[in-house]
Amino acid sequence: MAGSLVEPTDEVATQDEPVEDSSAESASTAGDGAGRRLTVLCALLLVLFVGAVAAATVFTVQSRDGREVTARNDEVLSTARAAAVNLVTLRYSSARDDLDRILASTTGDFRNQFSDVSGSFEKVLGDGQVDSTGQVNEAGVVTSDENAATVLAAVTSTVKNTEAPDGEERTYRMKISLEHIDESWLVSNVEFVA
Amino acid sequence: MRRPGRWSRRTAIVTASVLGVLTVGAIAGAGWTWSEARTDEQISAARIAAAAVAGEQVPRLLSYTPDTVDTALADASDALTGEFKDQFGELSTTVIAPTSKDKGVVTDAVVVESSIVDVDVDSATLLMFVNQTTTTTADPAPALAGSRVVVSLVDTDQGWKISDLHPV
Repeated sequence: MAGSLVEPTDEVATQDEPVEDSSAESASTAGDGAGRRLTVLCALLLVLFVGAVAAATVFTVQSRDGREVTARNDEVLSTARAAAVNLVTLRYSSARDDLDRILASTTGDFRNQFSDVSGSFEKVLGDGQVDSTGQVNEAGVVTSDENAATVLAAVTSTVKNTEAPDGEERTYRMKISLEHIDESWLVSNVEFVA
Repeated sequence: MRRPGRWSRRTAIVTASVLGVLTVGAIAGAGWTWSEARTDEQISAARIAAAAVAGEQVPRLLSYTPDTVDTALADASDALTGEFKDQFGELSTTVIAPTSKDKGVVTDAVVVESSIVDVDVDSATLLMFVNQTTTTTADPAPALAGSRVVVSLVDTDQGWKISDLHPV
């Protein structure tokens, strides 16, 4: 009876002593069910935490792609809208400035072509005393990626000239190509859709 | 011997509590980012589905002959929803069909370009360039008209349907 009472106490004492030095926590878990449950809980929480952080990271990357597409399309649309308005907003009194403004938003072959004809275009505007004011009725994105985009624009302008001093309304179906160059979108082509 | 044991239990409780708070936060964050990612996924899918439905259905709404006008427009109106469906139905029976039969109007519409103006999880707006070739008994030479139409679509229980269509 006495031996059996003493023996476990001795065992605990001899077990605890060396362990206590190396790790206080395993001492508590070894001798105590509540401590073990706490350790298991900690491990479980850690696994959940790491899993949740990993999942949040993956979802954030995914939704960032979506946000980028939305932000890019907004930027592409506003650039194309402004370019379309500029293309049909020309006054013979400020022809040079109006044409320069268009030129500034273009790139590549289209820029060269536009630059080549802008001199004669300026003369046409002056000779006909052309006043054109335009607006974009609606515009939408056909395609877009990081480097290039295509936009449709339904454009309407009121054109006054020597032949139509009261002005006449013109409608256009524009297909505008853009390229992303040095952090900004520039017009690389404008097609009038037949 | 007991002191370190009690301390370490306290440490374990503190650790578990801190981890618990962190884990709840991380799970909430994962839930929120999941719904964000899912919304983006749905918007991408909406972009494709709405464009496909509009590309297929808009020509059907604008193409008919005197012989087919009644059934063609009735069939085409399956692709519509809401008030616009009622308006189109009325316009078909009171104006489009009688005119087509009286004047021998044959018209055929083709979507030449399509773009997305705006898109959300369950709605979309498209700008389309439509070319319509029309002949009448009095004027059998085909007349080509190019138009710009804005098409609104919504995702219904029966899939994507056109809720509005108007020229701009």
